[in-house]
Amino acid sequence: MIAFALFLVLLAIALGALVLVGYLLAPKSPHVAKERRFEAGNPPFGEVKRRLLMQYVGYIYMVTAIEASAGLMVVVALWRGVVSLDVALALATALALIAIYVVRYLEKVADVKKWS
Amino acid sequence: MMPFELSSDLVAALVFPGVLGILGFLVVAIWAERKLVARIQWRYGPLYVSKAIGGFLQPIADLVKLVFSELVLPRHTNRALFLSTPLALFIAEALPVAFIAAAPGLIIFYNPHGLAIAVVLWLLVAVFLVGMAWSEADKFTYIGAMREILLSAAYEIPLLLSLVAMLLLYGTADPYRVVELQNVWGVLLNPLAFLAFYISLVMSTTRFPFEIPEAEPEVVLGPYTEYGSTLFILSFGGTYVKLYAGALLGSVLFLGGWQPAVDTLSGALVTIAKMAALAFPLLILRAIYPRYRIDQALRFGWSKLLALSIAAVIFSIALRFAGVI
Repeated sequence: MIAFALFLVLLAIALGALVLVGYLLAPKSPHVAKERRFEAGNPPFGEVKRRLLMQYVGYIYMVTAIEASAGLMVVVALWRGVVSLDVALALATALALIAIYVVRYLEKVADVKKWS
Repeated sequence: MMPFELSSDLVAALVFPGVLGILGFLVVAIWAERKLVARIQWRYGPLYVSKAIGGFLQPIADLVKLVFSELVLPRHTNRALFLSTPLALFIAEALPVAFIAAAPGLIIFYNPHGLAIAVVLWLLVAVFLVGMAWSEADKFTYIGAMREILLSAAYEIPLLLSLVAMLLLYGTADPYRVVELQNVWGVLLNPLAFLAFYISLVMSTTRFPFEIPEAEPEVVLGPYTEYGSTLFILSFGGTYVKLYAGALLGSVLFLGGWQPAVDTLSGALVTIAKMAALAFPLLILRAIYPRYRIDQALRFGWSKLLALSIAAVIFSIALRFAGVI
């Protein structure tokens, strides 16, 4: 625990000191153009907004649904350290469900032409 | 039964795999990347600084240059967040290292479920990266953050499933036990899981075919766009720290950790050699592959890579029932 705290504190001090030293040593000549939002050389225009294609929401939906079950599988794998038949069956069923779900919907989600 | 002394975990925190190891890896990895890629492209790579040792001091010279360049804080950002998020990101990327043993006794924070904790912390890094990109409030960082979120949607499930496959084989996530159990290396026991893990590692460290969030020709530097000077080192250098943590985890899970060494010092050297064997191929990918589009990476992650990782879990279950391990 002491070592862990030391690791975090030392890392933070080393990184913080780097920034501080840079701040103290580097030349400072502030200019309004430097402090603007970066817009590839142009003056900033408009709002920071982009379109998000609905196609990608499908992936986010899949990952929220499946990641929790994958986390549950980690717990199951660590449960007693032995793989009994019921654990194996439960895992296989979960994986089969994931596979069916993904095969069923991936083609629709991944079809760029349909979404753009 | 843990071979603990008070001093050995402090050594782990200070030297290897802790602070010095991380900072040293940054220098070596950046130099090695430039040199190896140059070799493939028939160039010499950095030679101007310290020609006698192959330009090895070039990353240090770059560091000095960046320290002496002006620290610009854009006016439109929240300054406290703008300053602190790269620091938080760097530390978050280094955190998984604390739960993985690099040699007998050489672990920063022992926990019987250490490897599972390390993977979860590794998956949380994307949260800090997106937070940083958001605090920069820029069009390019916004696109970079979106791409980072989507890319992590592509690799998280295969990464977790490859972990499940190995945990089913070992029956534990104890950083010491996992290594002791590997009479046969994990990569030979379940090559499918290793392949899924390795490709997920390429994706999560955004190495080349998946270098999508910071694609230079498209979005400047993605989530790192607004940063310069020392803050650039913290934000962009963090990706190499992630590679360091991933290589350490991979060598413990799949390459038998510090085996065949038994004592701390030689064990650490063996682990370093194995980490290098895992990390260096990732450094030269930049010279070999073009870049995927984000939708291609997502489709790849959800079709071939997912199928591979599901097959890895099934293979592990079959191995357990066949009584191989």
